[in-house]
This record gives sequence, C-alpha cells and structure tokens, in this order.
Amino acid sequence: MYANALSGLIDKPRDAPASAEAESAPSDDILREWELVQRAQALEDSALASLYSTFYPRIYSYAFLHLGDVQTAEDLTSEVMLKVLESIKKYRFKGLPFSAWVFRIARNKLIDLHRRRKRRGEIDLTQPLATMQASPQVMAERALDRGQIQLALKHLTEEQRQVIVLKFVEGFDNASVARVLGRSEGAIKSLQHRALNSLRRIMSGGAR
Amino acid sequence: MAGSLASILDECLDALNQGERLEDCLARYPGQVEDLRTLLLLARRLSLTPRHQPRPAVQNAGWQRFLARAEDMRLGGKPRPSINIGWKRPLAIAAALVLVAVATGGGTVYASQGVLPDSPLYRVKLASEDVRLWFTFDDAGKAELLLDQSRERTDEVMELLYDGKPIPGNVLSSLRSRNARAVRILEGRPEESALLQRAHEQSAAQESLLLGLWGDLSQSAHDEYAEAVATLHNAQLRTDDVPGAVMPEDLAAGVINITGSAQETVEGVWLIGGVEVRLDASTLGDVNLQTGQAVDVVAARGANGRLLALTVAATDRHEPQQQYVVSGALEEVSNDEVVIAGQRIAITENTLLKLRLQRGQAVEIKVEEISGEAVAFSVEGPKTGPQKAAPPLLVYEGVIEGTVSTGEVINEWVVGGQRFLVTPGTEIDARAAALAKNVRARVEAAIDKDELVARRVVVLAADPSQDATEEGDVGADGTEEGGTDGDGTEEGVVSVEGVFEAGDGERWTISGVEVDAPLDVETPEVGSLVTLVARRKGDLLVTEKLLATFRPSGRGLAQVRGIIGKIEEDGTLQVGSARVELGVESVVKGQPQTGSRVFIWGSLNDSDALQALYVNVLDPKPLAPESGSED
Repeated sequence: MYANALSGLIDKPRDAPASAEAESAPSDDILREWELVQRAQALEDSALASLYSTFYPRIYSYAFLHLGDVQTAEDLTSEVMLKVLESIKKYRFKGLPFSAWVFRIARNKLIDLHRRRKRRGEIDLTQPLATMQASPQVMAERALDRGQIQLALKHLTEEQRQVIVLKFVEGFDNASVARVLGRSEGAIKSLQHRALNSLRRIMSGGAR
Repeated sequence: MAGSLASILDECLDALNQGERLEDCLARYPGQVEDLRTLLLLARRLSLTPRHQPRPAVQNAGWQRFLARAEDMRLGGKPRPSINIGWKRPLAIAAALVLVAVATGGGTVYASQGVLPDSPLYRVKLASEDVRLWFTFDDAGKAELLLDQSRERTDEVMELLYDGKPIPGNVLSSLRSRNARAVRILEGRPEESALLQRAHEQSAAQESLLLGLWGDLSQSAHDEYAEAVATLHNAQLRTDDVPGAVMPEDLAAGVINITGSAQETVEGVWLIGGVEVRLDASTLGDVNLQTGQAVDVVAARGANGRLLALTVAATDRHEPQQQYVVSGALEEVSNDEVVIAGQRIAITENTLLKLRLQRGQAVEIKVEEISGEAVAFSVEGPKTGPQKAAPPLLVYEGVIEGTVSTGEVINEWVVGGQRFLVTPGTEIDARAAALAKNVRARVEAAIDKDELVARRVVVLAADPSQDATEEGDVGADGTEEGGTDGDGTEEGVVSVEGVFEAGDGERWTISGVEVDAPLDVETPEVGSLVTLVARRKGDLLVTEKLLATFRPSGRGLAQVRGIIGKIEEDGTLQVGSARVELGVESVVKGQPQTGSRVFIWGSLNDSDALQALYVNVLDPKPLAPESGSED
C-alpha cells in the first residue's frame, strides 16, 4: 500500500502526461519528453501547449510552497514559464529529465526574488514565523493538510525546504534534485534526512 | 548496505518506491525501526498531500502572454523580460513593422532586431522602437513600452560585456532617454502604482549595473555614462517623490566604492574610512548615519574631486559572511552554474557576466549568499590578452606614502615604495582603520598595460602583536635600517604574495614585480605561489625573508577572500559557502577567528576540495561578532 502510494511519485512527475504514466522504463519517458522538447524548440504550438499545461501547475505549486503568497507565486510562475520558452533552444538533453532543467530555472527565479526583496529590505517570507502548534496526533497515516505543510515548511532551512518540495511533493529522484540544487547526490541524501527529521520535530510541536 | 541513517532512509525510500513493503524494509534495520518508521511515514504523507492549484483565469492569462512571446520569437525578435502590454503588443508590432518596412525596406528592419549597439543597423532598431511608441496611444502603455525599451538597453549592455566589447555611448544615451520619458509620464500619477514601482526598481537595478562598468566604457562614452547614471538615480528619487537630484557634473570623474567607519565633520559631510564624502537629499539608502557606524558607500566623483554619496548601506554586522570573492580557473561551466575552486556557484540572469564562460578560463567571481545558495553577482576575467590567461594577482602590503588622493579619475598611490594606479574600479576597504598617510595597507593589483592597477586597497588595523619583538610576520626580522611606523611595523618593509613568473638565483619576478632573490634558496617552479617579506632599497625590493613557496596542483591557484563565517572543529574555514580545508602544509599568518577578514591562496586537492596553501588573516580582532549558525 505504502509502496503503491510512493510508486510513480519519486521517479516520475505527478502531472506527467498519461502516456508517461504507463509501465515503461523511465528512460523511455525521458526520451519521449525529449521528443516533445525538440518540437517545443521548433516553437510548435501543440508542444508549447503541452509543456505549458504540464509545468504551469507544478511550478505554481512549487512557488507557492516556497513563498506562501498566491500573487507572488503566480507572478513567479509566469516569469519562469516565459524564461523556459526563451531559453528552450539552449536546452541540451544530458540524460536527466527536462523537468529538472525547468525547476532549476524556477529555483534561480526564486533566488532572484529573494535578492530583490533583500535589496528592498523586505521581510523574507521564507523565514520562520511563529512556532507552529500542531497536535502530536498528526503522525497518522493520512495526507497532510496543505496549510500544515505550508506552515511547517517555513521552519526549515531553504535547502531543506527545496529537498522536501522537489523530492516528495514534485516526485524527483535524487539525481534530479541534485541537478536542480547544484549539489551532489550524497548531499541530497543527508539533506533529505535532516529535512524529514526537522519536519517531524516541527509537526510534533517541537519547532526550533 | 547503507551505513548512516541518512543512507538507510534513502535506501528504504528507493525500495518502497520499487514496491517493497514498509515492514520488510524496517526488518532489515532492527536498530533503527522507530526513527525509520516515523520518517518513512512522514515521507509518504508528504507525497500524498494534494498540490496547490493555480487559479485557472491567471493560468490562462499567462498562456496568452506565453503565446505572444512565442509569436515574437517566431518573428525573430529577441525575447524581452517580463513585458506585459497585453493585447496592445501585436498591434504595435504590426504597426511598427509595416511603417518602417515601407520606409526602409522590411529586410533591414527585420535584420536590425537582434543587433547590438556597435552595429551600423542599431539606428534602424532604435527607429523601429520609436515607431512602436507612435502607435501606442495611452500614456500608461507608452510608459511601459519605454521601460521595456530601456530594459532592452540593459540586455544589450550585458551582451556587449559578454562579448568582451566596450560599451559605446549610444546605448547609454538611449537607455537614459527612454527611462527619463517613462518617468516623466508616470510622475504625479499615483494610480499607476505598479508601473511607478517597476520604474523605481528597474532604475535601481540599471544604476547598480552601470556603477560597476566604468572600466568597460569606450573612451568617448564617459559623458553619456554620467548622464545615464544621474538620470537613473534621479528616477528613483522622482518615483518616490523625493526632491533631490544628482547632476551629471557630479559624476564627471566616475564613481568610487568605499567601505569604512563613518565620522561626521560638518553637517552633511562625513569621513567614510577617512575619505570625505557629502550626503544630501539625493543620497539613497541608510542616510541617517551614526558616528562609528560601518557603511558601504558608492560615491559620485565630480570634476573637482568632491565626492557625493549616491547610496549608503549600513554594513549588517550580524551577517558578515554574505559576500565573498573566489578567483581561479573555471572547472565546469553550464548555462546556470559554474564550478570554481571546488565551489558550485549559480549563474542567474541577473549575474553580471563580463566574459564568455569557458572551461579553464581564469575568472574572479563575486559571490552572494542568497537563501543559503552561492549565487554569482558578477563574473570578470582578464580585460586584455588571450582570453584564458589572466595576469597573476599581486598582493602587496606596505605603508601608504605621500598624500592619498581620491580626486582624479586615475590616482597614483605609493604603498611601500611601489606605485599603484587607483581607478574608479578600485574598491577601498577602510573598515579596520581610516585611509591616511603612514597607515599600513594591503593592495591587490594586477598588471594592465605595464601599469600595476589596484583592484582593491584594504587598510589594515594596527596589530599590537606585530612589533619588533614578535617572531614570524612582517617586520619580524629586525634589520638595522629604518625606524618603525605608528603600527610598530618597520618602515620600508613590505610583504609580497604572488605568482612566480620567472627568475634565477639573483632576480625573481613575482606577479610582475621584481625582487632580489633570497639567498640559498632554490628557484621555485614557474606558477608557484611565493610569499615573502622584503625591504625597499631605492628601486629594488630586497628579500629579507622567504615565508613560503608552494607548487600548486595541476589545476593552478585559486583565491578566496571574505569574512570567516565559521571554523569547523578540524580547522576547516567557511567563507560564505566556500569551504577551505587546512592541511599540515598550510601556512597561516595571523589567528583565524570568526568575523575576521581573510585572504586565502589555495589549490584544489584530489577530492576536489580547496586546500589552503597560504592563509592571511587580515584582522587581529574580528570585525563583526560571531553569527549564529543553524542546523
């Protein structure tokens, strides 16, 4: 049951097209994706529509989990999608999913946003807010409430938050998370451990 | 078999994903069952959490912009960042193309769209932009288009820099005029708050870009530069309803960047690290200075040499390690990151790239810590000569001789008997003591057109441990000539760090400076790092003490400078995100402390970590208190 729940989420993006959800080897998925990307590089309408409808919701969710603000997340998502379009001709297939490249752009846009806010002296929305008061019973086997996860993530460091969102919400494998964050796979493993540990502490009411 | 809990957890996540049951995985690690179960269940719950869904209307509006951009790209237009003129754009583009096509021939206009300011077709490009403006009839749309066009100039400047070309005046002039027109339209229209904010932010970003570009301008562009910086600065004031204004004459001799402690002299005039700077209504940033406060100041330098602060930023003493510099050869290069000296550094679209990135290229990267990430603020390389060869850095410590002037575009300073040129590109760090005659300073310089051009001058604090009775460092050898200066360091004694370029048993050339070779010492291998203490006798530098020579690994020398953020138990130094390992052969001058500035020469070791060869701690006492570390 548990395996079924995780299956298809770790290695494959949740919103992958139906064909990509089929029982084919991941490399086939990646190759199919690469074919789609090549058509998008030629600015084919149908390929662009497919990329947009696949990635817009995923980037929005990623941005919202990091920013906690609907409008800012929408603006950032639009910026990311335009950047993807402008840069898509530069993309070269190197064996990793295209989505790792897209999320790398999203991460860089997030960095730029933090930089702009810092320059303007604004509060970094990713900084921890008040201590979360969650009931210890939340460890039951059910999905987390989106508000809970949003609040809990605010208590993590930026890198921990990235790993949680990319690996468990977006379903990337370690190699892709490493690519997005510019870290080694070993570093991702230990970040993943620290992040889950911190999250466990926070969710049982013991925030830092 | 996995060892640490992190590895076990990862292995179980993988196994569960492959279809294994939770209990089977736990059974393999009986000692870790409780921890493992909780973490795996949490991972599962995370993966079950439904995604936040975007608002369909917003997603659809974004799709229209996405399509419009794709259409632009099909027409051959260069992508522009964040343009949001909605339905008006296709009309404007069509009108522009039609009108100019009639006037000049469609092929020329089409060909001009991607050109840079050094092209003869650039005027056609600007003219076609003007036509688009004529066909934009509402003021807000016009202001937005002007801001887009001004930002297009920024992109052109970035591209010129990337190609290693000088910045001509025409692009600065167009940037300035479009910005000024946009601000004129928007002034007094509070209902256009979003556009006003954009104008403000864009002007700030453009000014920040231009402030670092004096050395990249073509000779004839200085007047346009002064006007452009003044306009961008004033745009920020005007969009905030602040009455002050900077005049182009205030910038006639470029800009200067000073970091130091603030002391008020008369009202509105402050000494920043000993340099007189005026603050007035046009100064932006942390303008309510307190005596003794540490600040970063970017000042405009007028033709008369007077300095007017454009921006003031109080140094945040609790975040000392947020900026640092890494120099060396690029190990890896991709579109969005580079690896240098073992450090992985993100490149974003706001990174100021002053060269084409290539593997093996020698560069200096200013790195910012943003949300725990190492992000390149700027990447620079050698300005002249073969692209991969950078002139070796010379680091020279001595006493400042003669009057220190900051009044001219190019100033000559003499430090420890050595002449250096101080240009608008030279940073002055006077945090530890005020800049003045007879104080000890450290100059980081490189040869450019046969002149030693200072990149950075760091005023050093008096170090009570460096008197004539102390062993080891500068001034320690107690020779018979000369007295001591105010710091207890002997006059005429200098410290040199640099790369051995050529030499024999009599003369060595170190990063472009000749020294008499030390006695009874084997000549180092070319490319080695040499650190020594010498005494100036007339035109000659006579080595008094060879501190060390290091033969770097095949991947050459790298430098890291910044503030020590953390010292690990094994002595590893953390400078920003850079980790520098100390080995038994590392030579350390001074006492490393959290909060002290440090300059490190290192070389990549076999495990791709930066191994320190020579560590020079510049501050006997930390400049900033220890910052808390997380995790």
